[in-house]
Order: sequence, then structure tokens, then C-alpha cells
Amino acid sequence: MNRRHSISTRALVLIAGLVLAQQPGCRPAGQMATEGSEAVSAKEPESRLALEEPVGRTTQKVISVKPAPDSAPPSMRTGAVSGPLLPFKAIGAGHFNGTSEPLIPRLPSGAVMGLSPQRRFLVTGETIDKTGLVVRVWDLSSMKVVLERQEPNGIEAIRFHPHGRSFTLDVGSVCDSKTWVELGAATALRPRQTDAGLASALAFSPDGRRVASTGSNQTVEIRDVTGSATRHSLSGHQHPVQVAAFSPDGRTLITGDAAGQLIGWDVTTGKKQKTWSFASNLLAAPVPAERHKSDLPAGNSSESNSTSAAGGGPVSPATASEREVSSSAASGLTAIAFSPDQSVLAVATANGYTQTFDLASGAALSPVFHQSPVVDIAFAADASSLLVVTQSGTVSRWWRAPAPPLLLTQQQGSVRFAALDAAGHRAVTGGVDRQLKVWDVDRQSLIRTLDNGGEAIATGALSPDGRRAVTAAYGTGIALWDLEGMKSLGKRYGHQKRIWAFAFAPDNDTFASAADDQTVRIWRINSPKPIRTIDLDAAVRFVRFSPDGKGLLAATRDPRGWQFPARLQLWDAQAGKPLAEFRGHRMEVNSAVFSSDGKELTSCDAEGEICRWNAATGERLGSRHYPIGLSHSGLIVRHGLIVIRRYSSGVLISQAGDLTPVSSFDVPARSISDLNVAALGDRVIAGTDDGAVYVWRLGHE
Amino acid sequence: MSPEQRQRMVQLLQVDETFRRDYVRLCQLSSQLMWAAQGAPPDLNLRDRGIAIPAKNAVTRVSRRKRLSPQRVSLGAIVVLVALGLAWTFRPNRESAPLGVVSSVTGTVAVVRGNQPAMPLRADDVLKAPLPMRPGDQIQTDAVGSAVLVLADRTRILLGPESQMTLAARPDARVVVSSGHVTAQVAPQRADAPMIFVTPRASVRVLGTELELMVSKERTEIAVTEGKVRVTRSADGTSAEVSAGQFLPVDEDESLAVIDWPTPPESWSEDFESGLPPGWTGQFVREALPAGSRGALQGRAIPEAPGLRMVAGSPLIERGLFAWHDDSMLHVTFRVQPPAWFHVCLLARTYSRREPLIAWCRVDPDLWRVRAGEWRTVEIPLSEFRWTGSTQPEATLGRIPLQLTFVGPGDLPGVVIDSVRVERKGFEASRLSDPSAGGDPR
Repeated sequence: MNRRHSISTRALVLIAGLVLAQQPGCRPAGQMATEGSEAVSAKEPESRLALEEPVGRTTQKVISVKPAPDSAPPSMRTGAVSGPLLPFKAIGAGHFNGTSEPLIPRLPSGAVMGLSPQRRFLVTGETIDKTGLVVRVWDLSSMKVVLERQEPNGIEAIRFHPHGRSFTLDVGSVCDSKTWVELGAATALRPRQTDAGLASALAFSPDGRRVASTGSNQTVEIRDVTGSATRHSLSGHQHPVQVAAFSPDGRTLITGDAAGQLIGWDVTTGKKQKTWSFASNLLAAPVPAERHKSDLPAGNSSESNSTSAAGGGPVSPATASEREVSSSAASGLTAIAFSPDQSVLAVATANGYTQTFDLASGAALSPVFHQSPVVDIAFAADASSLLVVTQSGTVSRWWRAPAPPLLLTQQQGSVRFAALDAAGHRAVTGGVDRQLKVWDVDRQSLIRTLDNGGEAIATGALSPDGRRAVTAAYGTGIALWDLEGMKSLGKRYGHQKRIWAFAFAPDNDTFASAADDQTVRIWRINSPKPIRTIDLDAAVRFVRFSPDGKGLLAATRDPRGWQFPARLQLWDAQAGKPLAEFRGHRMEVNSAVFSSDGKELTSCDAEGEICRWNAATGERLGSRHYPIGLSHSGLIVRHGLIVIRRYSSGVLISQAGDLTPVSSFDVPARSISDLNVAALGDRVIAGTDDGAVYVWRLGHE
Repeated sequence: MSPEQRQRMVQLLQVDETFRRDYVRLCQLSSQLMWAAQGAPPDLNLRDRGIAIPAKNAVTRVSRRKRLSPQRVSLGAIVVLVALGLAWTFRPNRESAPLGVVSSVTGTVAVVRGNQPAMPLRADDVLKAPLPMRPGDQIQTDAVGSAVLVLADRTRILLGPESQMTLAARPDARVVVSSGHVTAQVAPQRADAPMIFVTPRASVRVLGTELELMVSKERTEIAVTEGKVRVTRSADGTSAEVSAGQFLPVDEDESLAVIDWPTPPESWSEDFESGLPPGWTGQFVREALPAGSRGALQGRAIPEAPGLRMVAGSPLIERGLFAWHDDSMLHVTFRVQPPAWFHVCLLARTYSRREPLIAWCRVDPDLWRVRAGEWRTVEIPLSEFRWTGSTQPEATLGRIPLQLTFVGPGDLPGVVIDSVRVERKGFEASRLSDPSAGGDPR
């Protein structure tokens, strides 16, 4: 224990100087500390580790670590970390049911957790033996531990002060012992009597001037923090109110009760604005099997209620009567959070679900089941993901996903080629069923089936205007298709080995083919022979024209395999001479896409690295690494988004500019075999090994 | 014009350019004749168009003799002739009464009659008015097409994808299958007038049974589900009897060798009421079940199968779980907790190969777009299962499901199956007893 203690102490010293502070003491049940004007100017010297001073029956420790203020500007202080918003609407509705990834190692059963009000920090408390536990503070932006401390006693709850710079570790039973931990500069606290009884839901307005709270009844009180007067007493719920949150603009307060009813209130007038009925079947859904008593923390679930209330302040430890209310709350809602742009509301339940709502229409969006009661939720600052804390000890990020896709077809066998025209209205698919199928995407109907002469289709390309297509089987022949006349234009030959990739130039007439014979050949639809052949030094697996059609990008494969780096070069498509080479990938480059002006390009490789390059000079401008292989990239021009296939059935959407991930989701299939985009039509098409073809529509069409 | 004639006319207008042109000309002539007989049409608004109209009293009444000028008479004669031509085209054909009807189609299906161009059949049209088939009519399906024919004797024939079949009235060849896949349930026949299927390699004589045919230029395969048939090779006249549970490939050279294949039961079910049945993969759950249920199956992650990440399913039964008929229905009662999803997959063997090598799956996002925690029962026709694989399987007859699995993402074990069963709807139940589906074409 002592050794651990000294290690954690050294860590604290390394991270920041520790400041000890003495804080006001324990509050009786029902009292609530608020960030008020009556600040106690108690700046502590910065050299002491801890100071314990019994106040009444309470022992308090105050620890501070620098620099780590939860320093969001007041305007952003609700439900999300500050930061620039990503093109939120580009992805579509607020479905947060995409890929999930754990943010921290799973915590053991009985661990306690708390999110800071601005969602910058996560505090976890893990029991390490029967009598002690280790408390860690995680910076959610870097997912690194910024504070680690060993506590001799078990704790029941972690509760943040609304300003986010300090939290309490509630130790033992009623007001027995409390430890204050300061994350930044010490801010004085002074308790203020508000409710009599338990404050079961708490929310501070973004500017910190108002607080909404509710006791065990069904009334919500909005008060001025600086004064004692109640501004509004809100009545409308038929069941105990469990959660509350202010909107980012501070004008609306949303409260939720045990029956799942959500009410939006005008903060200024105190009038009811809107009522949503949370999906009753969701609340009625079975409680996860994990939610047994053995899985609950030593106390009960009261910490989940108190910390989950947005801006859950340092309310007092639960009394016996409070625990009864808290147990009833375990069957209802546990947290709500606004998206930063106020378009989506996320709600969490004690039976393990999160559900998002479109705040404009009130429509329920995709629910997600988390296998365990959800303790707390928070939107990432850029609205790309939803952070979910569960009682079983998981803290995970759920990425955004577009609205559910259209199923264009489910055909026999694997679909190897699926493409959209630039506008996204026409799709072409082909696969081992030996057919080229032309689809009307808007109507989800098959326009025509063209027979491929008994050959499977292994790869292909569709012209930007959707009037021409080229395909290849597993050999050297190129099949040309007239999709206006819906007929085959015959085959062209020239390659000596298998063709792997095609690309159309913007003129809709010129196309390039890449093959194992170490050549890229450039063709015109009506010419029987290639108009140009570019010789490379290895098999070519990828080819793409620049937006002006003058440049041609080609990626080769090392003879030893995809695990080895090969070459990514830009060629002059007319002169057949190299213009630039892009060096830096550590494995084979599977795909690359130009920016809309052609000045930059973004490439992705089998290792999972995305690189951004200066197309003229080959200078590397930035990179981002993912743990799994990437391929099949495409650019959605209007939103500046890059769509990439993530092995084996995932789709990753990043900002083209800085490669920041925006969305990540999985296709319901074993594997995606082809992925393409409609550059001007905001649509994505995926052909799968299962024979299904899905089309997503990004944005609000 | 009878509904059949009207439908035929619409089809010809859709597909035959010459017919369309003639029809338009007929309409134009008819209008001109009408105008000639009645004067100018009343609603032309000639004044609005700036055309001078003589004063009322200046109108000269045209005598009847003058209106019926020789030119107009000739126009009328042409119209009459064209009308007669149309009537001849659509005359009731007493010599070629319908042999049956096309009662339903899926995908792209066309009928060729005589020298006329192929007429595409639309599923909705056929459902409203089954298309009568006459001797010599040929029906074709493309890669995603299928059609159901009900003959006058209630024989039901399912024509699979990429198939071509002609109805003949000859006693030695009632149905000519040029290529593709046919499943037929043949009504009992008179001994002196059997149903005979003719393929490029063989003829199949049937007195009443259920069979499958797979036909290509080089090979014909016959599998009998019920009853007995006699197969005669066209090249040398050798023949063999094929009984229920047997399969016979007919090639040009090889001797006829009948192969036995297992005949699994028509129905199959599992409700997990007594725990996880032996050999099943998954987790048995007792909680949060639908009313009246005592157990259910929940998927579990299979780390050793990275492609198939969450699996719950039956053991592999070599004799087959159940008989695969396209009109059999798979009933599944399940609950999905989003964002979980699942595919229903059948691992099957063919009649000629013992090893399970083909997975047929049902992929449908609508299956998973359910309300969270809601129990739902779906019926999936086995005909909607699609082969999934990266290589084209060998074209051969037979699907014997050996294993049923539910496959989904391993990190989302939110799929619970309360019961699963397969039942055959049956030809009679599904089609023949339904008058709207064509029933008895006579």
C-alpha cells in the first residue's frame, strides 16, 4: 500500500505540483454546494501533499494537480468538451450506433466512475483490496491518466463540482468522510441549503448562474446560484424526475422522469415547450443480466444518479431514504446530454440503453444496447461520438453513423464491383453472378441486367456521368459497356497479366487500367488499342486520375507482398512521365484520393495509416494511424469528407483537411468487397461478400 | 375485348414497335373518319387560335352524299380492315386452348409466342390476371427471375433463374426444358398419357410425383422428391427408374447411375424450452422471454472464427435438418437489441456432394430494424435465401441444409432466438387452392 502510495505521489509530482487546500466541511443531507459569490479565498501552499482537517464529523482531504482545469468557456459548458464542430450535418441524422471502441481498460466490478461536467475528465475508482482503492483521473482527450491516487478506504461515489475543477470521493456512509480533489486552481466552495431531502437530479446552466434541481417529488426548481430565490417551480411530470440538462444556449432545460417522459422547459419563462415520450418499450426492455446485486458497487447505484445529472455537483452522500429513491431510479433514466449544436439529445437508461432524439422533429433515432446499466453519457466536443460509461466498468466511444442504408440488392454470391455515378443516382454492380446490373438508386430498382458472357466481374469502374463502365474478370480482357444503350461494347485486350483496377478520367471517355504486368494502360472507349502505356517496376494494384485528368496516380505492390512498402507515384497521363513520388508508407498503399482542387492527395495503406500529401511536391503534410488496414477511399466533395473502407467490414469517414475522424460504422456483412462514393451526390455504396449492396445517403437529402 | 385480349394488346404495345405504329395509325384514321362524319370537333377553339369562322348563317350545310366522299370511304375501309386485322390477331383460338397459366413471377421473366418478340411479364400484372399459356409458348427467366406455371391438370412447375421452357401439346413431350432449373409437382396422370419432360439429353416420364430437373446442353440432372419417374437418355435410349430420395445425372457417355441422397423431414423445429439442445452453439437464456416461453438461445462470440463473429446455431446433421423446398417457410421468433444484427445462414450440401460447401443466407436490414427489446416473428421463404460465396459453385441439383446458424458481430451479442421452425406451405395450400392465383385455368 505504501509503495503504491509513493508511486502515485511521485506521479502527481511529475504531472504537476500538488496543492493542498482546506475546504469547508461536510453538508448535511439535502445540502448542495454551488459555485457562488461567497467564495472563500483559501489558496493553499503548493508544496504539501495533503492536509487533513476534521470538520465536524467529516474528514476532508484536498488535493490539487496542475495544469488541468476543466477550462471550457462558459458558452460551451454543457454536455460536451469545447472545440470546433465537425461537419455535423454532413453525416446525417444523429445516429450514434456506429463503431464502438473502449476508451480505457475495462474496470472491475464495483468500480465507481464520474465524468466532469464539461466531459474533459473521467475519474475512476477501482477497489484493489478489501480496504483500499486506486483513484485515477483520465484526460478524455488523450486518454491518459493525469492523476493517480491510492485511497485507504472504499468510496461510494465520485461527484464533480459543477465548475469541473474539483470532485469529491464520498467515503463510507452518511457524511462520514469526504475527500476533495482539486484538478486546477482551488475554488472556494460554500454549501447552500436548497432542497430538503435528496437532490436526485441536478443541472447547472452553461453560464453557471442557474441550477435546476429536483427532490424526491415531481417538481423541478430553477434557482439563481447567486441568490436564494427560486426563479421557477416547474410542474408537469407525473413520475419522479431523474435527469435534467440545460441546452448549450442555456435557454432550454430538459428534464426526464422515471416513466421516460422528457419535457423541455423555457428557462426564462418556466413554461413547458415540448414533451417527448421516451420509447416505452426501451424502458420496458429486460434489464441486462449483468445488473445483479453482485455487480453493483458496494453501496448502491446512487452514484450513477448523482454523477449522471448534468453538472452533478457535490451533493451529499445518500441516506437510507435517498437510497430508496435511487433504487427506483435504477429502473428509469440515468443521464441525458445535448449535442454541441443542440440538434440531438441523448438519453441513457438504467437497463442498458442509449437512445438519441432529433430535437427538431422529436424523432427517435437509433437505440444502442450496452449490456449493462448506463451510468453517464457525454458528447464529444466535435459531435463525432458519444462517450458512454456503464456500470460494468466500460467507458467507450460510440461513433456516429449515417442513417440506416438502403439494401439495393441481395444477389447470389459475392459482389466484387459496386460504383455510383458522380451524382449518385445510378449504381452499377457486378460479381461472381456474372452479371452487370444497372440500378436506379432513387427508386431502389433494377434498370437492366447485362450478361457478362459467363465471366465473373472482379473489378470495374463507372464513368462520372454514369454512361460508360469498364469491367474485368480475373484475366486480361477489359469489357466495355454502354449504359445508355444498355449494351456491351465488346472487349479490349492489351495487358499480359491480370487486371486489378480501373479509373475513369473526368472526360468520361478516357480510362486507365492497372495490371500485374507492371503497366498502366490508358484507353479511350472507342479506341481498340491503348493510347498510352506506362511502365512501372512492379505489379500495379491501384490507379486514379487527378481532377483535371492530366495526372495519374498509380500504386504498386512489392513482390514480397502487401506487408512491404511499394511505390505511390503521380504520372503525367499524357506524357507518361513521373511527376512526383509519395514516400513514407510502411506497407502497400491500397487507395488514394485527390482533393477537389487536385493540390493535395490522401492515401491509405494496408497497415492502417492515412497520409496527406502535397500532390505537386510529394511533401507529407500529415498522417493518422488506425489499428487496421485501410483501402477503397473516396472523396465527398461538398462536405470535404474522405470515405475509406476499414478492414474488414468497416467504413471510416474523416475530414479531408486534417484527417479528423467524423464517423465510423460497420456494414452488416462479413466483409466489404468494394466501396465507392458519389463525389457530388453525398452517397456511399458498398458491395459485400454476402451478396448484398448497401447505399448510404449522407447529409440531409 | 376480353381481359386476356386487352392484356395481350397492352403487352404488344409495350414491346412491338410495328404493332404500336399500326395501332397509332388506326387511331388517327378512326379520328379522321369520325371528324369527317360529324364535322369539325367541337372543342378545337378555332376562334382562339385566330382561325376565322364563318358567321352562323353563312354555314353551308353539307349534304350527306358530299361528306361521304370516295376518299373518306376509302379511309373507312382501311379502318375496317385494320380493325379486322386486330380482331384476327386476338381471335379466340379454339384449336389451342390454354395449357395452363403463369400464376406468379419474380425478377425478369418473358414469354415468347410464335414469332412475336419476347413479352416481359410484370409480377403485379400476373398476380392480377394470370397469363394463359398456349401450346408452343416459351417462357424464359434471367439470372434473378423465376416463374410459377400451373397447368390445367393442377401440375405446378417452378422455373428457376436462367431457365428456358416450352409448353408442347405433343403426347411424347408435354414440357420441353431447354436449360435451367425446374421443380415440378406433377398431378396424377393417366397411365396412357404421362407427363413427359424433354431435355436435350433425356426424357423424363412421370405419372405423378415431385421432381427437380437441372438442364444444360451437356448434362441433365433429375432428382425425385416423391414417387417415381423413368428417365430415358436420348442418345442411346437407355433408361433408368429414379425413385424418391434418388438422383440421376445424365451425360452423353457415362452410364446411368442412380445416386441415393438423404431425405430429411419436411418440417423441423426447435423451441429451446428444455435447455440448449445437444450440439447447439450459443448460450441458453431463461430471462426476459416472450409469454409462455421457458428458454431461448443467445449468440456468443466465436474468437476462432473471425469472419463469423457471433454465432448461434444447430449442430451439423449429415442426413439433413429438413427438406429444402422453395415454398418452405422458415419461422424465427427473435429479439434484437440494437445495434446488433444477424444473418440467417444455411450450410447445405448438394445431392451429388456430401461435403457441406455452400452457405445460403438471408440478408435483410428490415430484420434488424425492430424496436429494442421487442419480440418478433418473421416468415422467410427458403426461396429468398441467396448463395453467398466468392466463387461460383458447381451447377448441380439439390440443397440439403445440414446446419442452421445465426451470424452477427461478435461484440454485440444482442440477438436472442426464442424458436425456429421450418414448415412447408405446400403447393396445394399455397397456390392451387387460391382461385386468385390462377387455380384451375379451365
